[in-house]
Amino acid sequence: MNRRLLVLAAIVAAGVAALILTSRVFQPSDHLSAAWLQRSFSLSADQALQIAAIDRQYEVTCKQLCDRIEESDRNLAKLLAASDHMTPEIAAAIDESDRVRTACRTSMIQHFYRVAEVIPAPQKKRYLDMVYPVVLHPEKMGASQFPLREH
Amino acid sequence: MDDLTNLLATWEPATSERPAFHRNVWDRIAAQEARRSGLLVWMDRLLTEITRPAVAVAAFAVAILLGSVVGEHLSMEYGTSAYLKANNPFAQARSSL
Repeated sequence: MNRRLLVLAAIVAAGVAALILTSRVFQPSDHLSAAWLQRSFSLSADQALQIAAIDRQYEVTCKQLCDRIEESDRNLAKLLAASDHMTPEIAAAIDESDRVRTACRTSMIQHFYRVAEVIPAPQKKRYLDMVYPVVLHPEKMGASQFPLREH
Repeated sequence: MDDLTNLLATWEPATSERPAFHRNVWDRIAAQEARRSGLLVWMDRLLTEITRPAVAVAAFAVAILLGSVVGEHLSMEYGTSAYLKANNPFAQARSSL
């Protein structure tokens, strides 16, 4: 009986080990997104290099936009916390917050289209289908959430 | 109190048990035990079969294949999520807070 259970346990352990190894081996780091795309969308080495270059350019824009989102959200949160009625400053801050968000979405979709241009036609649609939800609902992927008032 | 005791002593239920009642109960108990022992027999047979070298090798192969497929699927899910997050300034803003 013990031998039988041992064999069963070894089989289960083999399955779990395979799962862990596979998921870790292919886990991409932040700096390997082009490598991950290459594997996921069957890209050539040349195409992966082109995408890596596009990624590097976008990285700067993405960081700048991220900083602008933070800044506009902080400003709006500060104004909302200091007021109990609508003010021109709050209206302006909301406008600015919307402008930043629009710029983000525009920049994102431009970047995704540039990447899609490099991806071979059969895989292109799959790539665009993957990224469209982020452009449609970018906040769902992590909206800035500032506390409005201290309780 | 004595009246009540006498009444209870002479009382008989108006409805009688159906003749097959006891038999049905015992049949159901027996069927449940048979089901339980059937599962044990099946488990026992599985464990016995698994010690046969050919079956054990096949089971190992299936387990490794299954684990790899699930692991690959999980890593793809994670990869997609990481890629989208890395390219989304909204997500970047949140994670830097």
